[in-house]
Amino acid sequence: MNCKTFHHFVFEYLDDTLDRAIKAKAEVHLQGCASCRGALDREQAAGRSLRAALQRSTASLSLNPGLHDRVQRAIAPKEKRPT
Amino acid sequence: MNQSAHRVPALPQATLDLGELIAEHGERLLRSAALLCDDLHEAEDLVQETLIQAMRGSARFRGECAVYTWLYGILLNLCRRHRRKQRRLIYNEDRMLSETAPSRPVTEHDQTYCAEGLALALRTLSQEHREAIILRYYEGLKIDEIARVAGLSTGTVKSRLHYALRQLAQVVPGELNLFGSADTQTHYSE
Repeated sequence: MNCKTFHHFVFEYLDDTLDRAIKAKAEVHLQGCASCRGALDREQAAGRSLRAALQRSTASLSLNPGLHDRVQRAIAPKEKRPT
Repeated sequence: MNQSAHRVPALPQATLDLGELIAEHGERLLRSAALLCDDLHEAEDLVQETLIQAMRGSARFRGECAVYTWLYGILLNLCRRHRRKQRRLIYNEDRMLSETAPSRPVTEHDQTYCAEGLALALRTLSQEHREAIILRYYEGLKIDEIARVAGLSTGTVKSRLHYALRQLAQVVPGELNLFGSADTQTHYSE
């Protein structure tokens, strides 16, 4: 496996969803490639930064208390008007 | 995303309780919707419509995926439809706005004074690239899960993620330094 192929599989490598044979090749490549090890570390660090930023930016949001009633009204069967 | 990772047994219609759906998933849906559409009021409307559609269509839910994943699929479709409607309105009003233009440009003032530079930078991405980032880094989905929820190939998902990360790295270079160099850029067939 070369650097380009490793980059192609980097997300699946992090997800641990690679086929066993490909994962083994990726690990052999990583052992010998400081550049890809660094890139992998950066991907993980970027993921942590993004996750934290996205969570912080939405942490104060909460549901409107009237949501349940509004949905309930919308899904309730319509009553027929008396003729 | 732990909740979506494990399968749930098939649920009959009667077991989908609105109160439980809201208690277990409502807030998370709202936060994700706010990130997707960048507007709290729209996000509230989208979550409400998601729950209405989920309750009306609960008979179609067979438990092939986690409840949240199912709800998220509905939300994502509604967001996309909403976005398309907005584009038509913009076109009709003859306003100059390209499809990939940011909903609001990030200014230097924002960069300096806003502590949430990364979240702000997200607004500079197109809708599809923003979706990819939110599904991956906010929802914590794996590549194959994103592909399933978003209705895309895994190659497209990876391509969008790489592109979106490179774009974000340009806006907030101190935070993100990824596989961005020209010699290592990866291309995927969509």
